[in-house]
Amino acid sequence: MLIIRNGVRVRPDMKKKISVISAALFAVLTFAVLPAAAETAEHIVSLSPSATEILCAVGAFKQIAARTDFCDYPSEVRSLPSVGGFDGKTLSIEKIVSFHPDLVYATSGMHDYLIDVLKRYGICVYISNASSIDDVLHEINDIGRITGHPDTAAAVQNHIQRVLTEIQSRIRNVKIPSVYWEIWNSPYMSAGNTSFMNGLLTAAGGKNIFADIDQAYPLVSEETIIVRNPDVVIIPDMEKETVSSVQNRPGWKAVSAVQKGHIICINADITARSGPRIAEAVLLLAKALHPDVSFEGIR
Amino acid sequence: MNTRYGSNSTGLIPIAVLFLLLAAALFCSLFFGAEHISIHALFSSDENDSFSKIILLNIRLPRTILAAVTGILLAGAGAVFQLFFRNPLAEPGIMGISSGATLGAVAAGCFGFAPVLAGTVSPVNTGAFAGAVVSGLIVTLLAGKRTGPSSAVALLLCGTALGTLYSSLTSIMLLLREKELHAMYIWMLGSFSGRGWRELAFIAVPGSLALILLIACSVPLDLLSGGEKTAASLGVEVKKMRLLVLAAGSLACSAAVCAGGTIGFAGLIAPHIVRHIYGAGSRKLVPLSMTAGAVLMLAADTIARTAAAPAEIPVGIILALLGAPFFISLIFSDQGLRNG
Repeated sequence: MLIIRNGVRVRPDMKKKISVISAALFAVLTFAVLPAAAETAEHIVSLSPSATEILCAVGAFKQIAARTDFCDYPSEVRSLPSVGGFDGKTLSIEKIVSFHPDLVYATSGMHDYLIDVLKRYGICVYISNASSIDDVLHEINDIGRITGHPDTAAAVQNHIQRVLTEIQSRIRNVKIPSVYWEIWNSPYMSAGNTSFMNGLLTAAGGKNIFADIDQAYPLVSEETIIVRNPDVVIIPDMEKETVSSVQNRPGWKAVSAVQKGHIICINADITARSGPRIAEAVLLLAKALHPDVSFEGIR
Repeated sequence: MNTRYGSNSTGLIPIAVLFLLLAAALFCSLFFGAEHISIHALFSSDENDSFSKIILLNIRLPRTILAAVTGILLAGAGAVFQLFFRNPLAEPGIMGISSGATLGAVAAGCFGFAPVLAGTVSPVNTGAFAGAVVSGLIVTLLAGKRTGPSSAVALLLCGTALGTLYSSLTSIMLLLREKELHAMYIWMLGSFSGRGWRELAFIAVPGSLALILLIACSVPLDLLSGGEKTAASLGVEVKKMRLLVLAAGSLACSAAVCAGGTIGFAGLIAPHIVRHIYGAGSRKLVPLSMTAGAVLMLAADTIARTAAAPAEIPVGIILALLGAPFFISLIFSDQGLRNG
């Protein structure tokens, strides 16, 4: 059994059930040797939307045996069979195993419950734990090697890095706005400095007003939001809140973002998924945060 | 635990101390928070001080009133239920009302029911109110069907069973809509964050009505201390009394969950604390429990807002963390007194 946690750390359990693929992957990741086509993961069960997006981006769409109900991008993944929901405890192990996967692509925390069970079946597990842009780039690299598409993965990495560098060059001399990124409002929940969103915001030329909180998604004080007086307020498009409901909150009229109408409703799927669309997410944010800067030609 | 359900002897000094505590809790809730506000700034015409006024008038003041009202309603409902059922464990949670509120909140959160009052109160809080009202209505209707000496016990058992049923339905809904799982989990922990004047306006009528009914219940409940048969012989219509108690408690709990989520613990411990310290009978137990509930809720919310500022801790966690050890120590100190 092989478990790959957040990149290239390997915990081999050399018992009876070491499959050919796990031995191959162990060799690949330990000695940094690229696998031959026959040794790559060919039947992958993806357990998160970002995992599915990464697999498709590196060119491993045909190697995906199953996805989850929430995997909806790119659109062709909708034609794949689903193992069901998202959370580890609601997924049927039987269903996952029925696809005869040689690799299950899981997410740390949410799918921890499944790891030991899959281990018993001798199935390899890649555990994603991406909480920053760098983590995502490393993960794309790992998945490229595991699936036998290292060149495509490198191209995806280069594309993301090129877009991010280009965005940085355009916002080099502009004022960095302070931003309140709302996850939820009852109670108020925002993105702390260990969140994935904090990294996106920094890359897009924004300063998170709650970057001083170490939690990823802390409950925050409403009065601190008002006193920190953000230049921009970001609300997710999937929530029931709207720009006008934020404007009508008691006491919020004093907030700079509300006075100037800088309340942005942003696509939560793109910004919340730690997948290959991070460049698109950062570009989307940069355009919203810096409406006076031209981002033409970046794609 | 000493359960003196009948005594009405309460000194004036302990009552004065309780009201002083309430004043102190109100002051702390208004003037301590994540941000420093000076009393001077409130009377200043300087623009730089405007944030202090906004925070005090738009955030802390409504939140302080909401916390106090929630404490009053939950503790009042707990006291009335404990007196009526003559059961120290009775509180809105055990009647399935809190679980009903959670079911309503989760249904509204997962399926996005339209907000009431022209989009002013969030769908989740509106759903919680509706869930509590409906579950209260169901348990009240059940109470009307069953009569006889064991009817109170049967009602408690029915309430517990209904609570389990609502919890199962809530779990099914959350499993079907996993994206909402984290947000709803946080809501269930209870918090006054994101709630203010709008929620206060929404609960004003049901909350006031519940308050009047709870106070009205407390007088005849005195006669129930000797049992339902004795009360009936004294002219109390037990069946009507039961309906009144359930209606008052359900309405109080409905308004409270809309204000702060499911924070049931205050309803259990406030009446016990009052009974332990004051040994009060129902006439005084209900209002004193309400005051103690307000003090507990205000103190817990002030700690929730300041302990990890600018981050917040759900008030339900603080109430349980501090309330449970205090409650247990109270039980043992009571036993020590009796043994000594």
